[in-house]
Amino acid sequence: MKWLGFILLSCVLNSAFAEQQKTVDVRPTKEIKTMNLARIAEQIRNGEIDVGKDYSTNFKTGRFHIIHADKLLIDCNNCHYGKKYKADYQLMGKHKPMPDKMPGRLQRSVCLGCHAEGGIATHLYGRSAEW
Amino acid sequence: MAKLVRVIDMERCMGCRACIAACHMENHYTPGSPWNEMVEYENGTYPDVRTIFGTMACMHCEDAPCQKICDEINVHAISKNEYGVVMVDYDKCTGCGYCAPVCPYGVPQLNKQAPQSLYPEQETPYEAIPLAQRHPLHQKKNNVMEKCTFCWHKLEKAIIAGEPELIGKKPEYTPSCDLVCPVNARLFGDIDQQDSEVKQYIGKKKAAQLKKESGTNPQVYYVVRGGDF
Repeated sequence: MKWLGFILLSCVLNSAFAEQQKTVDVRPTKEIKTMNLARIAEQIRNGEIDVGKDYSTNFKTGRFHIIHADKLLIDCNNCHYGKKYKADYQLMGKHKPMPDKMPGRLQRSVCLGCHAEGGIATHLYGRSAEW
Repeated sequence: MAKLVRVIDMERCMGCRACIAACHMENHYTPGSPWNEMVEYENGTYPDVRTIFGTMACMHCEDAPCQKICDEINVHAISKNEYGVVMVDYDKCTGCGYCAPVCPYGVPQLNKQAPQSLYPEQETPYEAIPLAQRHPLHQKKNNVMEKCTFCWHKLEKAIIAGEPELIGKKPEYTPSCDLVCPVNARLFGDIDQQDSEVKQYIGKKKAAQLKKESGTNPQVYYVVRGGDF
């Protein structure tokens, strides 16, 4: 019985330790990713990374996609997800047909992650107003 | 200085689309690039179901992201005047389309269609006016950004006549969409004016801006539900 109790206790302690290890491992990876994005963004702004001169949203040649998808390696599905917007989503043109090659509808709330005040990218949005 | 705002009462709006027709007649936008659009959806569960109607046009944000991005890429085609109206200079706009994805409300419309006649059989009196003689905001081009201007061509008249305090009160100084609402679901005026109708309505019905999380401070308020009635 003593041995069984010891084995059980060691299992519990092991799993708790593994959980702790997981949380410790995840945080620095996220921070490193964000720091890398910030560094690349800064290099783009300084002109150290060439992103072309075509100021357009063209998928292949436009700076918009070159910066976000090619240089910052943001996955298409981060910004384009879902075939339809929610019924109560307040957006003009939400019923416009989606272009064939677009991987999903553009979800604008994603932009706030980096482009809000205090974010790592060019500040386009202010601080969220209080209700 | 004035700060012009619009209030849309979604509790009162019945979805007749008179405001959209009025905007179309006034501003002659191409159907694929609307300046004013109805957003409707159903709410509740059967049998307690209702349809919510509300129109969306440019919010004329105080911190407009479209203007910020336009300045950021050195195009400077979008400006905001002292009355809080965000406008586009069609001569400067390069049609890059950057303003469209950054707008949280999906307002900027990159017009790739040639202006069409409202009634293909005959021109309306406005369409008969040569392009060069129209108001600069109506001298549209292909492949430039278009959007609601708060009917600046009408508001401008009040300022020229030295009667800016009558904006939103006199029909000729009020945006067309706000004039035609049969159920008085729309109000327009100066929020900074003492005892202005819009100010009182916003307070009374607890009207709020949409998508506050974007922090763009839009100048269009919506009565979404409730209020103090």
